[in-house]
Order: sequence, then structure tokens, then C-alpha cells
Amino acid sequence: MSDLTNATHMAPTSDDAPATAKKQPRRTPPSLVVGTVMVGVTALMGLVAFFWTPYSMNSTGDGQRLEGPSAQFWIGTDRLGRDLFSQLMGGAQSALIVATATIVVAAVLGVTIGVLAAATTRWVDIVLLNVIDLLIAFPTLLLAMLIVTVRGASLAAAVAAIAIAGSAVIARVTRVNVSRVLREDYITAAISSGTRWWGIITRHVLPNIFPLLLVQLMILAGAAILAEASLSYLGLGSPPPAPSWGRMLKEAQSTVLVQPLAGIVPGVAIAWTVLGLNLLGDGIRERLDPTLRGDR
Amino acid sequence: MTLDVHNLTITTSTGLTLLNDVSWSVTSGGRLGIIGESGSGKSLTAAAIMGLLPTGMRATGRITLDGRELTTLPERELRKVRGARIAMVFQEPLTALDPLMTVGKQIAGPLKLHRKLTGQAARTRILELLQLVALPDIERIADSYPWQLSGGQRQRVALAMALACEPDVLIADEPTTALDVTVQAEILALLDDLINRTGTTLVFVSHDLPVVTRVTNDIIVMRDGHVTEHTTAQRLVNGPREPYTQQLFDAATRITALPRKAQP
Repeated sequence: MSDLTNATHMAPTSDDAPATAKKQPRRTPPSLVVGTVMVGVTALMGLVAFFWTPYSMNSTGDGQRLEGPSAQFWIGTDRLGRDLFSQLMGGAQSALIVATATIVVAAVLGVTIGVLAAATTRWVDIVLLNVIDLLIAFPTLLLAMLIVTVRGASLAAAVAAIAIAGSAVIARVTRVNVSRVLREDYITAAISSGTRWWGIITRHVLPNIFPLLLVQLMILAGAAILAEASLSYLGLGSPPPAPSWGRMLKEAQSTVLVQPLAGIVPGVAIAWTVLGLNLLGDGIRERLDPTLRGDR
Repeated sequence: MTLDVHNLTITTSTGLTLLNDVSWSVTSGGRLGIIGESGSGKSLTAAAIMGLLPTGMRATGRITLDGRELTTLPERELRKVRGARIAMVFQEPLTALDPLMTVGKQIAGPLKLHRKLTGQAARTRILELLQLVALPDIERIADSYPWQLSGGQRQRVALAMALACEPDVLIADEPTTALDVTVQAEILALLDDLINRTGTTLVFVSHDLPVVTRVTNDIIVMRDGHVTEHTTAQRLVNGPREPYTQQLFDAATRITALPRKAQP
């Protein structure tokens, strides 16, 4: 990316046609800016929560039950008297963990499977493709319930279910794009100059599908946060007292008329973060896609 | 050095015969032209030599380089032939270069694979090659991306990449088709000059009869997977010709004949 931008400020060639089109400064898509800011706020909250929260996330003794917003408790307290803002930060922390873990696992597992399916033999492709389709067809929620039944409810179990489902999605996207890139002339050219399989994949294929993968991973992160919230809402996520936006929603359900903020705040947080990740993905795509970039 | 194609037949998995009993051979310093319309199997012949047939296609017959059979060569051994002994230039110079890699890095690929050249030694050779294909401002071009170059410049880069390891045979698959006429003439002159200087054997695949006669001596005319005529550039220009070759010849000359009539 930075290589590309650095290479653009060069004088046009002296002879042989005006080779380099003069580039107007690259416009940063608004969705990239807005998305980065939105995701940044959540990520910052999640990171800070590792070291500091206004009150302990789980201590019930700090305030009265169902207090309104005040200087002391910024958005009030829940039905057990816990500080809502501290819990919000804790939820951001969980969301951050889930999103990061899902991205890492899906990137490693999904990309590996996708590359193997697209770039090895037909039989490997058929087998892997069926596994991928099976995983995609299998509801994430059901998968999560299965894992929870076997291993007990925990954040790790929820992440495992989400990451497995996410890997399948990434594997499919990878497979399609790898086989598309493999049909390009420059791959044929690279093979005909003697490049081995590993070199083709690492030097040519992966760099060329990277922007697309990055977008998919951003969207996947959004889906992962949403899935974790759903699982926690259903009691299949990390067990209390570990903080989670999904469980905050569930717990606020019975007191929504008395303390509406307890329900609105985590709901908005989820929507905010997922929307931010989608905007970020969209912005990255717009920034990296040469057909939308007007480079040539 | 002899590249020998003997009774080469290529069939698809559905039983369709795309190439039927094609035989030709070319020796050191030879210049062979393969001409034919789209679908005549001329590019497929080139792909078969490189071992780049699409999956599902089966080749029977023999392709030998100095008596060594290429069709049955294991992938490991074939990789040592590709780029080092037989290199290829493609039709579309833009799509044949990786858009995300600088020109220098792409040329460095085969140098590292076959010559174990890296770092400064590779850089020196890359600049030498860019010089060889008569590119201006070589330092800058080496650090440019393909899309920053013009069509002609790109094809020069592709030529430099193909010639990087001084191959015995250069297969050029319609290397000038995607270029406009003036650039086409430049590239042909360059190719002619390079072949003369390096003594590389040329296999030139094209549908364009005037282009083929300009750079090659021996000419194979192909149609529907068959070789219809094996001739020389000299004979092709002066006639007589096989009926199909005559058709190709007429199609090519008719346009250039028009303006001459208009002259007084």
C-alpha cells in the first residue's frame, strides 16, 4: 500500500509516450475515516478496560440499584447497582477479544484452506469445498450450543464457534479469489519462468488477494461481535460476571421501563461497532480497489 | 540445441481433439513462425511446450529439447527448463506482469531461481537487461510498477524478463498483437535485433502474417489443429501457396493494396 503510493510521485518518462498518468492526490473515502473513528472508539474503550475502569466491572456495592446518570455513575447503574459505564467498557473488551481472535483464526485457517482448495488438486478442492459448504450451512448458533454442551459456556467456546464459522466464510472467499488470480497471465508468466508453487502463492497470489481479504475480515469481525452478543444474550457466551454487551441487553430486559439506558447503551454500542467495522471494510475496499481508484 | 515437436496431439477430457498430429522442429539460431487463425491450436502448441496445458487436457506425442522428453518430465525438472532454457513472452504485456510488483523485482524472480543471483549482483543484471531491451531511464523503470509504463515499455520489460537467464529458446505468443502499429514495429525490430545478438532460437506465434514473415524464416501454417503448410517466409511472400495460406495472404494484403491504387 505505502509502496504503491510512494511510487506514484515520479516524473513522466522522457520518451516513448507519456507513460505515467499524472495522478491527482488520492482521495480518502469518507467511510474509511468514519469507520476508523467508530471502530477506534470501541477498541480504545476495550483496551483501556484491561487496565482501568471507573469502578470494578462486577462490584455491586458501589452505587444504589438502578440509579440514573450522574457525575458519579455516567450512565447510571444496573439492577444490581453495578456501574453501567464500567460494564460498557468491559463489553468493549470482550468484543475486542472476540473480533481479534476471530480475525486471527479465520485468517490463518480460512486462508490456508482456501489456498489449498484452489491451488492444489481437484480432489482436495472437492473435499474441502464440501467441508466449507457444510460449515457455512451449519448455523453458528447451533455450533455454539454444541460446543457449549460439550465444554461448558465460556468466552473461549463462543470464540471457537464463531471462528470456525468465520474460517469457512473466509476459506470460500479465498478459494474463489485465488482461483481467479491463478488464471491471470502474470501467474502463467511466473510459472513459465520456473517459479515454484510456494513462490506463486506467496509472491503473486496472496499479495493480490490481500485487499479483498482485509475487507472480508473487517466484515467478519462485525459479524463475530454480533454473534458473540447473540450468544451471550442466550446465555451461551462467557458466564456471568464476565462483562458482555449481549448479557447487558438481556439483564436490562426486566428493568427496561425503569432504567431504559441499561438496554439502550449496550444496544447502541453493538450497532455502533458493527456499523463502524462495515464502514471500515467498505472504505478499505474503496481505497484499494484499482477500478474505483482512477489510477490508470 | 534442437527443439523437436513430434506427432503432438492434444485432446480434452471430453474427447475433443484440439491439436492433431503436429510435427516440427527448430535448431539453434532458427526462427520458426507459427501462424493461424484463432482456435487453430497455435497458442496451445506453445503452452504444451512449456507444460502449461489447462487441466484436463492430455498431450500425446513427443516434445524433446536436445533429445530430452519434456511431456513426461516431472514438475521439479520442468521448472529448471522453464525460464532457464525455454522462456516465453505473452500477448498482453499489462496482464503478464504482476501489478503489485516493481519491474525490477519481477525480473529478479527468474534470476534468483535459475542463477541464484540476489542483491547487488541481481540489480546489476536487471539494469543490464533493461538496457538490452533499449529502455530509457533504466534506474527509474526498474523501480516502477507495470501500470506506470506504456504498452511498449511493458513488452520490453517482458522481453527482458524472458531473456534474463539467456534461454536457448524464446517462445513469443502474439507478442505484438496488443500493441498499436508503431509500437509493434519498434518491438519487432527490437526482437529481431535481440535474437541476432543473443543467438536465441525463436518460436513466434501469431495470426498476423506480415508480422510473422518479418521476423521468422521457417513458417508453419495451422488450421483447426492441423499443420496445413510448412513453408518459408520467402516462399510465403513470393508464392505459390496452399489454398488456406493464400486466403490468409489475401486477407492480409488486401488492406495495404487499397491506398496504392489511389496514387497517380
